[in-house]
Amino acid sequence: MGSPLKKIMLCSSEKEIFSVEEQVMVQHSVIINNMIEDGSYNYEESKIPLDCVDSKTLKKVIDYCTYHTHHHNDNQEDLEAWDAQFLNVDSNGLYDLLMAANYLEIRNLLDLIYRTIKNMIKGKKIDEIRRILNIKDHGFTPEEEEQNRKEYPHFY
Amino acid sequence: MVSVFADLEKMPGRNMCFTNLANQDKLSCLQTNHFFASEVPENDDSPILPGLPDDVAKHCLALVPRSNVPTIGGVCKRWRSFIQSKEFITVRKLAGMVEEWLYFLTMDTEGEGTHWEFMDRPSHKCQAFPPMPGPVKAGFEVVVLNGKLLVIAGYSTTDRSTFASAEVYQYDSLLNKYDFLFWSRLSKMNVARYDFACAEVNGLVYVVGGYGLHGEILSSAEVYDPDTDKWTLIESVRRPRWGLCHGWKFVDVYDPEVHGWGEFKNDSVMVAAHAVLGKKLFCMEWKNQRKLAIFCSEDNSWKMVPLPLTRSSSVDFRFGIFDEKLLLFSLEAGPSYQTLLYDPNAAKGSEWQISDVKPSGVFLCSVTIKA
Repeated sequence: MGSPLKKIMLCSSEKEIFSVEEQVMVQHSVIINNMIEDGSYNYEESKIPLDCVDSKTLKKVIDYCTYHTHHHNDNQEDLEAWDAQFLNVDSNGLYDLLMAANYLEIRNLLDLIYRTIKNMIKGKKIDEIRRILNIKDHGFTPEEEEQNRKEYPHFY
Repeated sequence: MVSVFADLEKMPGRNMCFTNLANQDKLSCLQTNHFFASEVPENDDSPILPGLPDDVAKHCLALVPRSNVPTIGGVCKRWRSFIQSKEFITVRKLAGMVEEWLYFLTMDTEGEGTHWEFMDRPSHKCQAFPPMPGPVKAGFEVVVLNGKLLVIAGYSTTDRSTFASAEVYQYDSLLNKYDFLFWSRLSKMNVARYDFACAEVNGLVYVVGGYGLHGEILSSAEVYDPDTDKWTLIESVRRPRWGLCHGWKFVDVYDPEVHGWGEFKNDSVMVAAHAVLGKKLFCMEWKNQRKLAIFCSEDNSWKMVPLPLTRSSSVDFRFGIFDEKLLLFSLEAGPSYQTLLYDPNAAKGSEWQISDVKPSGVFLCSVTIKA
C-alpha cells in the first residue's frame, strides 16, 4: 500500500501529465500496484506512459479511482448513484473508459462498464440496440431483414 | 487420451473415462483461438461493437442472459455468427454466464409421436418446441455439442417396414426463437443405423455399431467433426455390436490419438441408465434397479444407495442432470409417478427429495444444455 502523501505521475497519449495520489491508483489499478511494489517506479523521475489513454479518459479514470478511494465507506446506494452519473456518457466515451480500465486493470471499474454495456443490450429490442450501440450495417440482405421484421416483429 | 464405448451406455473403464470428461472443458478453452480462426468468414470484418476490439466486445455480448440471446441474434449478421460459433459458449464459460437448461423428449399425449420440450429453471413450466423435420423416428441418439443438440439417425416405421436413417438434425439452443434456425439438417452419416452407441469426445461425435439398412448388426464406426460438417468412417469394432445389449461383458475402447480400438476387460456390470455428475458416475444396474450404484473417480470406489421406493412406486427410471443434482425420471406415466432427485452434496439423510421437474408426457430421454 502506498503512502497517502506520495504522488505519482501519469502521462496521457497527448503527453499531458497527471499527478495523482499514489494510494488512489495503487488501490485500484493492478498494473500500477505491481509497478510500485516491484520498485520499477522512480518517484523522482518516472512518469507512467499511458499511450492508449487520452487525457479526457484518463481524467475520468482518475476521478473514478479518487472518488472510490475516499468514499468507500459510503452506503451502496449512494455509490451506485454516483457510478450511474459517472457513466452517463455516449457509447464511445464508455468504450474509451473500458479500454483504459482494461489496460490499467481496474477491476471494479471494468466490471461496472461491462455491466453497463450489458444493460444497454439486455431486454432491449433490436432497433434500440442498433441505435444505442451505433450499429449501422447489420449485414443482412434487405430480403432477410424484411422477412425477419415480418415474422418476428416482437424483436424489433 | 482414451475414451470408452459400451453399447448405448458408456461404462467407466475405471477412471479412464472420467479423466476424459474432466479434461474436456480445459481442452476446448485451449483450442478456442484455433477454432475461431476457421469459423469467422474472412470477408466479415465488421467489428462486433463499432469502437471496441472484438475480444472485448465478445465479452460484452457473452454477459447477456440466455433468454435474451435470440433477440440479439437479429441485431446484425456479425453477432449472429458469433453466437453460432463455439467461441460464444467458451466466452460465456469464462465470464461465468453459462446457464443450464433441461430438455426432454416426451411422448405426445395421443401416443402417436414425440416432441421435445425444455425448462430453463427447475420451477418453470416445460415449453414445447416445434417437431423435428422428417418422419417420426425411434432408435436415434442425442448428443450435445457446443450448445447444440444433435439428433442422430434412428429408424422410422411404415406399414411393417423399418427404414434406417443416416440423417442428422441440429437444434440451436441459443437461437431457438427463429423457426428457420430451429432444426437444421447436418451432413448425413456414411452408414444409416439405429440402436447404436454414441458419445461426444473432445468436440467430436463418435457413433459405433447398431443395426443397418437391412437390420444387419453393424461393426462400422464413424466420427463427426462440426467444423467441417463431415462424417468420416474410422476403424470398425472387431465384432458387430448393437445397442440394446443383453449380456455383453466387455467394453471396446477407442483411442482417438492412435485411431484404434482396444478391449477393456474388467468386472464391468450391465447398466440400465447412467449419468456423470462432477467426479461421480451414477449407474442403475439391470439386475438391481432398486439401487443406485455410484462410482467415485477420486478414490475409485463404488457405493450402493437404495432408492427411496414404496411398494407401489415405479422402478423403471432414467437419469437426468440439472443444477448439479441427479434426477430420476419414471418411465411410466401417470399422475402418481414422481421424479426423484438425488443431491450428492446434501447433508446425510436428506440426499433424496421429490423433484417438481416433470415432463408433460411419458419420459423418453433428457439432456442438459449449458450455454
